[in-house]
Amino acid sequence: MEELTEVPEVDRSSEDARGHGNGNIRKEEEGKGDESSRREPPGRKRLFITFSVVLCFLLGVPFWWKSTEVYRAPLPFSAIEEHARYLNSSAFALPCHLHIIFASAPSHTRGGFVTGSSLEKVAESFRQHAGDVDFGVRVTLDAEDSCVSVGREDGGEYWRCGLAKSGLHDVVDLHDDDRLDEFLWSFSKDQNSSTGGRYTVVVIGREGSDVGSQSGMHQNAHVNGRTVVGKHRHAWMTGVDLSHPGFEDGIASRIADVAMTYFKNGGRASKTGRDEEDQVASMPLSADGEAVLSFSLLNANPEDWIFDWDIEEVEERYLQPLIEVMEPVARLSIESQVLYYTPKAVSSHWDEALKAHLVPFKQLPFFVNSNEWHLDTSSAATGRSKLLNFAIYVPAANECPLHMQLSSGRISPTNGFTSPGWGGVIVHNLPGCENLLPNKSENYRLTSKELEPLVGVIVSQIRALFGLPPTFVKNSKAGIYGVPAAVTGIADWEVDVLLRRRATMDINASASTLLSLSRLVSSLPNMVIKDEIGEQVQSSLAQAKAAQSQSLVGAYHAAAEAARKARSQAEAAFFQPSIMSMLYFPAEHQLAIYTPFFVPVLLHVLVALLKEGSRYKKEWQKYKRWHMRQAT
Amino acid sequence: MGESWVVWGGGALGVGIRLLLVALGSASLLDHRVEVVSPVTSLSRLAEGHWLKEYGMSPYAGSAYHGSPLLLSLIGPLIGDRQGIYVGDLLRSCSLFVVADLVSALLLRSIGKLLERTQSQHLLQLGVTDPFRAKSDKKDVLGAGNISFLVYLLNPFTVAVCVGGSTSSIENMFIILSLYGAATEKVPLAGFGWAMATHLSMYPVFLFIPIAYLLANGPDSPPSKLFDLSESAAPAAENDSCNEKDEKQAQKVKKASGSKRAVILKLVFWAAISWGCILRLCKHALLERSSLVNMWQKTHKYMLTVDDLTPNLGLFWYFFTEVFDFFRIFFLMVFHANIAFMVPPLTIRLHHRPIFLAFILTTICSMVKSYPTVGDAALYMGLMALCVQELSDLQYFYLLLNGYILISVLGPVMYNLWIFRGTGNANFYFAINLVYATLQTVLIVESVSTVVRYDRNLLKQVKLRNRTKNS
Repeated sequence: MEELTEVPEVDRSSEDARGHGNGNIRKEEEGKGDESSRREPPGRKRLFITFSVVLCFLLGVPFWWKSTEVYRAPLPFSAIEEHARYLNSSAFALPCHLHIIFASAPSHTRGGFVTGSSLEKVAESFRQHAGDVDFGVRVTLDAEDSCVSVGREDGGEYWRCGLAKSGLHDVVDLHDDDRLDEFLWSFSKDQNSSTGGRYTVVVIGREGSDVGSQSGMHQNAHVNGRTVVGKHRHAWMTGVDLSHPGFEDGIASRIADVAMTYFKNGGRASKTGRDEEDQVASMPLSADGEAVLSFSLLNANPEDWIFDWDIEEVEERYLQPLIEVMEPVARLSIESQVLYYTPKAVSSHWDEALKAHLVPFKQLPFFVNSNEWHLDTSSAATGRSKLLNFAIYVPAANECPLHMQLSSGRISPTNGFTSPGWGGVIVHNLPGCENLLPNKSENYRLTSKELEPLVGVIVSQIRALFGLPPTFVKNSKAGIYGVPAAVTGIADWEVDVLLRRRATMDINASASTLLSLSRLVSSLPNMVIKDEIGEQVQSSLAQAKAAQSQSLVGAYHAAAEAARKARSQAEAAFFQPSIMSMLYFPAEHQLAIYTPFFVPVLLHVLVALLKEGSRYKKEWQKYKRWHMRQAT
Repeated sequence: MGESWVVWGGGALGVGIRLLLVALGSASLLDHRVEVVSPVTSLSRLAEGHWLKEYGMSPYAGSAYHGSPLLLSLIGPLIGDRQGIYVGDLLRSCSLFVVADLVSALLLRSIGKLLERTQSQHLLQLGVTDPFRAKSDKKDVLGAGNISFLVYLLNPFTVAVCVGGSTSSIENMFIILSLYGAATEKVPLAGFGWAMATHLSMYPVFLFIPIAYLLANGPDSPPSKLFDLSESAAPAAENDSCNEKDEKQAQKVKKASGSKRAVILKLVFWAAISWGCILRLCKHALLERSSLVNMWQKTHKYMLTVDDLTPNLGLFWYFFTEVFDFFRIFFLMVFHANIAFMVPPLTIRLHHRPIFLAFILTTICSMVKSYPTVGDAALYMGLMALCVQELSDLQYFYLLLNGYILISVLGPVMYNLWIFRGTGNANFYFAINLVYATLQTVLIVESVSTVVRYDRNLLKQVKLRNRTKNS
């Protein structure tokens, strides 16, 4: 009750009281004695009220602590750093092995031209020419009566001797590269020598050595024979003169050339490291090694004609083998659609001399009309898989023979172009379309037969997009030929090249992603790290380690698969949705979240606590003083 | 005579307005207004739950129904075709709510009459003139009960809620029933009313405190120290006028602490019994199609975790659409704790006026509950009218009244601008919500300070009287 009297008496409502006796109140106050004393101990109600509010806040503190606890799963920061440093110092690469086989005719061995010492010389010379440490080499002489091997043994015996005996020379005499390729493939297949990264060069000696010795006009004359790169993992050299003394160096340099240019680098002439890295970076795959090949038939003006196509058949017949052979490198899937009213974004001009509408080379970058070509299909647009578009463009009737002009001014033979990372465009002109009348809206169906040449172009475009030369090996100047992989479109050794590139890219990408993640995590101390992220990081690191150890034993597919997993786990950890939302949550936001409510409220509560505490103390002292005075 | 004319005429008018609005089919207009129905009280959701139950599924399947299974059994069969064109159908579907409103109003009137009676007794006992009655002639003034009766029945908010397809009327009826039971010392009734109200809308759980005080200490009275002061002065006064009555009253007010404890234990007992019965009935009403745990998850937990962020009159939806997920639990706790924080200090300060405390707590709940509607405002306005005597000196009454009119007009306008016209945004509507919350805050603060001032004024008068007697 007393505390009520403490409040300054400014009652507006107490008209009655005031009316009755202002003087009385004053008298009462005077009668109470001086202001520094009081007769009863001060009431505690105000204190209780204040404390009850403070207590509520204190009770809230543990809840606050628990509910806003920042859970951070432990991340192996040092292991990530170490992993990245290790990759910096020694680049990850899958090893290659080359097996050189001299399958000479009986006459040569009998003459003693190819001996054990010359095998050693070839191996030594090859190493000098190739100049690459991770190209293991083994040289074998496979003659009718003897079989000698020198060089690095690689994971067990994988070459069964007896090539000469099994009728090789009969096949050679047919002069049919395909037959010879198949012969070598069937010969080695049943001996498991055809796993990834193991290449064979068969040097087939020539009957009679007179030609070589006669034409010894320049250094390499004795190796002027044919070199053919097969569609599996073989190459062979025919018509090589093995009788010339000191032939080893020439042979080795030739083999090294083939091995480095084709088996190692996929037929790219430039072997500089930088270029290689650029290609590696541009492989059009998603983080987990997937890509969608989206085929679109674009009908520029359906008022002129309406097209349908047998894409299912094309897919089954021509593209399925490609997808299967690419399986270790990338999981490809196919979608197709037909779009109407899709004009191109550049205009063509009529060329009287060529009797065609031409799109100049400089205009090609603007050919794709991104406003009206709605190529993104829904299933591919969602998810993280990479989309490669292949647009088959059917021009309107009034610009029907539409051709693309090369920079040299000639007409492009493929009538298409690729755009790295995006896909390719091919123009399909209906035969004899210049004589057709527009606006007839006739129905046409592109059969798989008609589509075959287009598919050829598409396959070469796919090769180009993945960083392979668009066409197969052919270098008649150096006497190097290739056996085209007619069914699959990509030779086995080319798949190996892609696999190596992708594995390297994946390992590097996983290391750099993990490094960025660890930097991000340590830069944002109030970010919640779920256990899931920790697990993903751990598994990514483990997979990267597995890839390295697998690569050392030459297990190509296992290593590449581990590398793929390493990258996809690293990406999954980095793009975790729970992290993504916290990326834009700097520490200052904490202030913004708490201040609007808690600062005003807590300020009042604390001020009230201080005020009431000091007031109570003062009043108590007043009472004490009065009490003391009473006692005396 | 004039008094009863006004009261019963007003009551009839209130019921008539309701029936007329129902017959005119305004239910379909108000049915989906966020101001009138919340996900917890919506009748269309109840119809959906009823249909699901009839179809042999759990009424809580999906996310339609969030109310009690008892309401489902009680109202479900009555709803019928709410969008129908037959007046009979419409009246039938609404009859229960009109009855609930009428019962609430009558109960409020009884509480009010009781309050008036005790009030005048207390004042007489203290020997203080009633400032409320002193101002004007006694005959002309309606008592707190009658005012409350009229305020509750004629309040446009109550009418809208009753007509517009919301179960708030029934929730409010149970809250008022429990207060009535406590005021008239019918402990089982108080316990049952409180248990039902808590079961239906969870927030009345805080009303246990005023109900317990009401039972233990009787209806609103001036602080007990005033009586001590008055009694200490009484022997000196030696006035024989109404001594006997005074003493009796004083004895009644100062009940033995032992009997207080017994009454509270009785209340706890009856509340527990009622809760047990309610749960048993719920289990029966659910017909094995859903469990009680599921019921809790879909009703009270749904209110606590604020799963539905559809805009409403409250403050939750806007905040929880914006807040980081990381802080969601914490701020849910903070928002709900706002109510709990206010309970201890208010109880310490106002425990001698339980009805007023109930009014304040209801207002606070209405301000910071997760799915508020104007039905909550209807309830606290009715309770506020009970304390009309103490609040006669309320400041800013004009401002508050205009504020309520403002939000009733601008709320729907802003909502329309945002949702239907698309020319406004969420901030337009939320601004109105903030104004509404501010109004309620002002109402709470001003009411409390008015009552504190009223008590202080009484004290001053008592002291003054003592001094004049002593001197």
